[in-house]
Amino acid sequence: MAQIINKKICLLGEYGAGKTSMIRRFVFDLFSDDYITTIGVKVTEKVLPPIERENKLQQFRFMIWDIAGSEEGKIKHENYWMGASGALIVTDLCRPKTFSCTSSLIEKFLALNNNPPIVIVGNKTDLIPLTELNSLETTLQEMAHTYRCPALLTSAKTGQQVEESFIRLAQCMME
Amino acid sequence: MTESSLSTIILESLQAGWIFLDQDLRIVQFNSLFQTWHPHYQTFDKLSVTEVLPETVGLDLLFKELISGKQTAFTLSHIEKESLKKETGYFNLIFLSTKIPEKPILILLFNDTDFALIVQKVQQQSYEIKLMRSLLHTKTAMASGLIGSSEPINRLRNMIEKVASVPYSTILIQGETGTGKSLVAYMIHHLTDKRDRPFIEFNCAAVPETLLESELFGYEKGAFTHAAALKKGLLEEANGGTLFLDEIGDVPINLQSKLLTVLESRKFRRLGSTRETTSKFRLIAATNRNLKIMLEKNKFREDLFYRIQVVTINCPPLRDLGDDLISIAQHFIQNYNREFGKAVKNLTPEARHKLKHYDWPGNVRELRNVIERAMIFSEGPNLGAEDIQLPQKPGQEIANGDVSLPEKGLSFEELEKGLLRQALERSSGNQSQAARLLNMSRDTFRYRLEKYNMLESS
Repeated sequence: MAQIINKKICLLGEYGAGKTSMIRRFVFDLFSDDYITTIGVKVTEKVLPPIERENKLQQFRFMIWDIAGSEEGKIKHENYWMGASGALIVTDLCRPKTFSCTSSLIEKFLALNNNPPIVIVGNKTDLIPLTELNSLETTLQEMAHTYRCPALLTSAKTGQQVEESFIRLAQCMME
Repeated sequence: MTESSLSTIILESLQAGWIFLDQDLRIVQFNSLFQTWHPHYQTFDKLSVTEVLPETVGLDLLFKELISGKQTAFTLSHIEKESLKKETGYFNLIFLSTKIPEKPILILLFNDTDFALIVQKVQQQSYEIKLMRSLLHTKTAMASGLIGSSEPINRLRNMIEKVASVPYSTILIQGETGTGKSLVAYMIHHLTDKRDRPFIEFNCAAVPETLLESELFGYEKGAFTHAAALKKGLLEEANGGTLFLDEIGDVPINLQSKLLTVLESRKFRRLGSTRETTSKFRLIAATNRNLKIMLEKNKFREDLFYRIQVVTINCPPLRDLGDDLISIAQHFIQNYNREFGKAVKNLTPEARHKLKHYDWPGNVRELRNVIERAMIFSEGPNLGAEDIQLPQKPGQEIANGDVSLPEKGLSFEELEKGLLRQALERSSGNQSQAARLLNMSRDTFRYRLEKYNMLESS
């Protein structure tokens, strides 16, 4: 049996991007359309399925830090980031402005924690017409290329790629 | 009094839960308040701090610095935790270096719920407004502007996305009154790469015929008696963007030919000008009248008709949307909750039934008014059937013979004209269909239209 390793991960991004909804979907498989602003932080635990790498099984217990969103790139809660082993950077596909706002956030997070792995997420695909998705994904991939990390399109509402995003982060932690 | 007991007295006066940690980050001392806030544990003795406070996972480096005295204090504020009663509480965690070898770290836990909830409320309102504003200004919000997943709505959504991708093609939107034709036009504009360019909306039926030309084409100073200054027309204002002409069927025939010329050449002259002006825009026209019938009666130019109906989009009536009608009603409830500061959650099953079994001749506009009225007077957590006030169907009244004459009487002629008009609107100008709605033959229907000089406008 794989040993369970506790890891602190943070969800970072602009307010209203869907960080809390991502966690609710991932941990409790729930979703609500109501928007409730997160202030401060809420920590939720979730044990991930074991991940195999080079014939070794590893299992993580994620202590997921749902951190209050930033506002137009202004960072308020650097203390919360300390000791994080990775982060999901959540952007709002409906507000492409949130892509550029997160750049400074990513750079500060990486510097503070000695370059831990990150995964960039474009959330709310359920609100985007198919014809628009391609160009948004391209922009997101370009951003991911800059930080040499994966990028995924998700919908906390439908559950699309939510679990995959967290698992991807866990895989990156093992690399 | 020893130094140690003095410290304990000071700590207890803080109204905080507290724990001391040893060098291995295990709890060696705690107070009763800390225990009250963590009722799942019988004792904390020698438990790892990360087990009791998962918020401390990953803080190894910080703890090392506190033990060595390199760092003296560290704060984590507004940590959300669920209380025993499943209520949300907010706590502030303060980590202090004590410099006492057997218990080098003190963690204080303050309940900050009251203040945090005020912060939350203020931030909630501020962010909600910002989110709504940004949604209004994004094209994607436009894509989700249509509520529902019924087949007619999905078809409409698809159609909008497709036509938006073709630049400058002319579009005709048809549909009964209140079906959201202008919303569709706005969505098309916002889905294009011209979304930052002007979107000019104009209702051709809202101005007298004599003013329509100057509104559309603009005029030079002195072009006519009251032309005191140059005025750009809507055709010019829409340059690079979209011109949405609602009620295009109301444009007089002489102006229709001028409009056609502009659509063909993209060139026109302001009234009183000898110089040509160029304007490139996408024309979206809308009407609830049957343009084909108007063609037959020579009330609408054939060439203009074929020019504007390159793509035709039909807005479905509300009664064809099935369960989407309820989703739209719920959307209005949420809107009016915000506007009126109410907290109505939903519709009762009886209210849903009542909404679904009404004809909605005024479509979404009528539904919005009905929900607005219900929200003003409702007092419960849900809207019930008694809150939903719907007009009685005219057909029902007549069938039951219970039409009540208002006290002051009424104009029978106006009533009859109104019914004829409504029947025509409901049947998109199809006279046979309209006649059936009033339970009369087509000839009788036409006779009555003629009697009231309504044949032309049908």
